[in-house]
Amino acid sequence: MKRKANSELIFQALICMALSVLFVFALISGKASNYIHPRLFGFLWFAAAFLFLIGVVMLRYSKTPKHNARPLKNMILVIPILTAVLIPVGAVQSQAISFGISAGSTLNNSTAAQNPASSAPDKGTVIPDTTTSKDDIGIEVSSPSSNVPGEDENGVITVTDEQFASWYQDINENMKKYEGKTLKMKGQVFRMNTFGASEFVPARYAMVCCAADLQPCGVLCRSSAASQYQDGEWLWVTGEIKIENYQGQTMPVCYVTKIEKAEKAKQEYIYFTY
Amino acid sequence: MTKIEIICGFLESGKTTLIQKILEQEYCKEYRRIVVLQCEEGLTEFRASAMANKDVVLAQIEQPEKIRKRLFSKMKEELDPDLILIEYNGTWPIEQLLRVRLPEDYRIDQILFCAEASTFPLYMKNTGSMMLNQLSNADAVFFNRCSGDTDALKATVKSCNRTAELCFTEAAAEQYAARVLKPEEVRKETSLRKKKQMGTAVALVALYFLAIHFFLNAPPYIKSINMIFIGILMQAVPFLLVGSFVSGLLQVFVSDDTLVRMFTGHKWLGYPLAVVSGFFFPICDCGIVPIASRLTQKGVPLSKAMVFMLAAPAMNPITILSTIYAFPGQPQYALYRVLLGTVVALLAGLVLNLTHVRTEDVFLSSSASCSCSVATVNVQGSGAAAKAESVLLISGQEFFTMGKYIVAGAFVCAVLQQVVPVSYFSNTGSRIILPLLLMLLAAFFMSVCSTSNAFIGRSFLNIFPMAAVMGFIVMGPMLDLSNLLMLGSNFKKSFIVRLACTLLTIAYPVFLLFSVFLIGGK
Repeated sequence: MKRKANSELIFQALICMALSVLFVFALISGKASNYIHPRLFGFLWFAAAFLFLIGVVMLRYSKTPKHNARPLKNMILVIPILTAVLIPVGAVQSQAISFGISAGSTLNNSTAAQNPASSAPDKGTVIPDTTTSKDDIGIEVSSPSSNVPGEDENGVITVTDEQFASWYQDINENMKKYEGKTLKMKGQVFRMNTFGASEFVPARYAMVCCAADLQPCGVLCRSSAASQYQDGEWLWVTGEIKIENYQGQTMPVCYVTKIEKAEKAKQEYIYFTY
Repeated sequence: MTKIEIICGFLESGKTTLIQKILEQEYCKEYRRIVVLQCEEGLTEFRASAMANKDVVLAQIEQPEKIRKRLFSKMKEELDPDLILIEYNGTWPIEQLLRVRLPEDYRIDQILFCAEASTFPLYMKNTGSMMLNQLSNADAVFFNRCSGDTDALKATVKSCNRTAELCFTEAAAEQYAARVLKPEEVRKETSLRKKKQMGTAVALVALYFLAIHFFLNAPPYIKSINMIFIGILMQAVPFLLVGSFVSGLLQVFVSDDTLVRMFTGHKWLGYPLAVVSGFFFPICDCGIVPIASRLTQKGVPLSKAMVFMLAAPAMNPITILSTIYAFPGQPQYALYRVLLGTVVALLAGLVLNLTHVRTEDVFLSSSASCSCSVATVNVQGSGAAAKAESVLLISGQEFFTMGKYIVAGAFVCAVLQQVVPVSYFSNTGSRIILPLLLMLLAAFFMSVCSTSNAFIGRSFLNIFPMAAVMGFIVMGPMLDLSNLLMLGSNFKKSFIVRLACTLLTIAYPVFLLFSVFLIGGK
């Protein structure tokens, strides 16, 4: 039989519903946290519900035929649906760590571009010092929350997965507090090409808004055994914190006493909250 | 096979004349029998003597309800024509005909819309949905008695039907009709179309397999581009939806006249009002262009209407909200956005005022605007349920219109982040001059909606300095290509070019100063 429905509208309705289902799936499976900051989840729920409603109404009205319907008009909106479904998640972190370098060192570079006083454009976000990061977009050091690790009976401060974000903000804000203390922290091995052979960062990837601003965060570590570990490997690193001037920046540096292999953290990324 | 050609348009739009012309052509001889079905009494009579094909049957129907399955099955039984020309009543909804279940080998081929060039804009304005209904379904639009400027007509048609072919002269119309009706031409076209379809199908299948293979074994950089791409979209889509929802609400519940009255009633408040009222029009920026055009048309001074148009996207509460979300913990950027947007809009208004641009000189006199999100589907019935449905439908249309730009913007962004070496711009001597120019150009071409461009701009921060990104965010909705094209349906091209240049010249120093301010503030 002849075309008796508005194929354009049907196609649009299907796209709306597919997007809606995709959002709900991402939210329920927890995959959404790989893409966006959890603070935006509410909006995503709203979007899913609203898109579904639109889809339903569109389907209802698609019974009115349209003569010159061009169903493929909205093909471009299918692209994100396809890539979201077909390309596996979590890649920014595991394999693409070399991109993590660029993604990581970028935010402070933009500060550097604006701020001629900062003489170390290649410094990256590894450890931004408090004064430059205050007004910056990147890692903003806000008031430390109460969720900051304390010393145990052996004088070791252990940073758990959940505490990493607030601890990271704290150590950059109150460096002195940690000077001379022994820290135990977990992260993935991360290196920049400006690093020396003994230098690495046990980093966690932090999200400010979405996957576009993922950046490695961590404290610079020095260890003679550093070269044994591959980029991206999960480690527990224990060492003593000293405050140093590293390439023009005052920042905490960890002199490693012990390295152990670690399990991957449950949550892929850490999230800064404000 | 029997072809059905629909010729529609308002009374006195030249439908009968066109049909007569067609029937006089030599190629009509190749048809066995032609039925002409008239749905209204035209003022022109058919002249049987001049027709090429002698076997032409004229029939008339008076009520739209008569158009149904039986009409065609009876026609097949009794007359068995191989070409049916329907002169369709301009006031009947076209769905009435499109919905009919036709006999086995009957097919609606083309819908040709006739219009008289001089009355078209007026009809468009006053009969709105009725004419839109037929116009948006048309394959071709024939303008009769066309004299002078065709730009306004073109723009009006394009605003609700992008694919229709336009004919402004009789010769062009005849040529088009021949292409549709001349048997050998038709055969050529169909075989060409078949080839094309085959080609596309093969290409799509090949692309599909390639894509699957490629995606599943995607190299890391593709995966990271994808993560960024989807991430940006996931945060932008909800805000885009809120924007289109509000836009739908406004379109359904607030009439154009109310808006215009609001404006012309408070002339004394002048520019501040133009700026502030943007706050109360939380429409996406492509919705603001038609409103600004209508304001100008109804007598609001040009410079004021332009200030309103330029400032509204920056003042839009949804835009402000999304900016706050895009820069968590730094509400000052939302404030900067509002302030910079206001400054640029006011300066542009001032320039327009000082250079004495008069509405008469730049406005296309005979044009009608229709919003970028005309819901081409008519919602039946009234009451709360129907209203709610039309709000949802309009939101949906708006979402699809703007969604394309968001997807493209997010994609460009994701690719640039991975491809452009980060140190590139920070190492060059000109730390702001070049990035700002690039960002302004990106704003111009990417046409991302104001309600969600903060997220896209934000991701550019990895490559460009803050002031340049601010330029992208603020100027995006003002300088955007799709908006300027839309303005083209009401304003002369020279004015639009001038406006764009004015904006660019104003924006550049403003954002250079802003970047000095940012550095100074450190």
